[in-house]
Amino acid sequence: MTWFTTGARGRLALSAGVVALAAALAGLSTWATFTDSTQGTHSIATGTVDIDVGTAGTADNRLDVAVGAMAPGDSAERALTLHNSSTLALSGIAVSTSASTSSLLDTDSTNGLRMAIDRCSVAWTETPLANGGYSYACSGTTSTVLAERALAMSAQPLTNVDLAPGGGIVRLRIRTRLPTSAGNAFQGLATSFDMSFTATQRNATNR
Amino acid sequence: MNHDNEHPGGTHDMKTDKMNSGGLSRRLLMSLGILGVAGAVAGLGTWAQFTDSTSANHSISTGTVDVELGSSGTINRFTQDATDVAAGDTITRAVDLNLDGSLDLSNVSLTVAGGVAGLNDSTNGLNLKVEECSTAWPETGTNPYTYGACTGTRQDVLADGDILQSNSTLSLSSLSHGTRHLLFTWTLPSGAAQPAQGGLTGAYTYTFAAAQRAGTNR
Repeated sequence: MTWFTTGARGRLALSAGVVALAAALAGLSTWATFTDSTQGTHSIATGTVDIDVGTAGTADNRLDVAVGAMAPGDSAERALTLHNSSTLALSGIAVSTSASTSSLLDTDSTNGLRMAIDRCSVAWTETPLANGGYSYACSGTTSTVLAERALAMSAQPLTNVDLAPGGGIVRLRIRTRLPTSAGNAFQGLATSFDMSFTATQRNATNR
Repeated sequence: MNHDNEHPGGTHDMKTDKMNSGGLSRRLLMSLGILGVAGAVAGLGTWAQFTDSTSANHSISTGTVDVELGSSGTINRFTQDATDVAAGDTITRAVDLNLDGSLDLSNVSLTVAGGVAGLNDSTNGLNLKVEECSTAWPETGTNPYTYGACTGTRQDVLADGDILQSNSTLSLSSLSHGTRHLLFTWTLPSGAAQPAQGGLTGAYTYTFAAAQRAGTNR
């Protein structure tokens, strides 16, 4: 730091003066010369990655309907629609869960809750159950979006989802199941979790 | 990221307000340094991609299976032992079976264990039957207790048989949450071969086991 003395600052100030003078002279030089110029316009727009779950409380999102008094051997189905309005193609959609109320149900990866996700090529046929839940049938083609696994998961890639630009609507059926191996330690527990779906743009390319 | 990089600069400006001292050059150097850091951070952050997330919340809770006997008194006379029982005697005790869990049940069974060989004898030993009444059994007297006829709906829960039972299903009126009013009746057959049954004391353990309903779609 010591090399940077008042002398250097003086030189800096002087240089600034010279530059200012040159600019002033350029302003005065209005003598005509042959010139030509041409211009093109170029615009660059970025694409978007935009994914949304359906509105809670509709057949597009039944996850807001809680499952109460579940017993080992029970399963629960809830529909959830993913709306993909991205203008960019996607490299993938991944799902993560995050428990805000946690218990053995989400921490025991063997005997706790299991989750599987299927999709239907057309809208699921929803049947309300007397116990407040729902069951679903597909009149089109079903395919596996997430093979059954423990509820706790981080960035698990979804399979059989359309990744093309404006991929449209992915109609999911989320099925949770409490295995019959869940013993008495699982009585009277609760878990509340967020399911997050993250869409990521296609790989960068030359445009 | 940008915000973090701007922050040290802002702090620095607030600290130095002497324009005509070494402050200017120091600020310049500092700025260069900050630019350098910003450049390095930007260099590290080249994984940036367009992403979007959306989420939905879901709650799941499990039910309970809980079976209890009445606490004491008229809803649990099991605590009253029977003594000096003679051949041909009948012993009756009322007990409430409370299905306290939130889950419906598929089965409630009774296991009776213990006793002694003479009283357990399936021919000459004690017999047991269990009935249920939709209302409380009308009790009279003190030990020994006697019970009037059921004023509601009566049904057999366990047919008259040997006292020793192993996971015998109880035919309850309902396997849903609530109280079942049971009446236990023991008899020592009048034909009991006396020497074998005289002066015996049998201590029995009654175990009620409840199992949840079958799994279903919810």
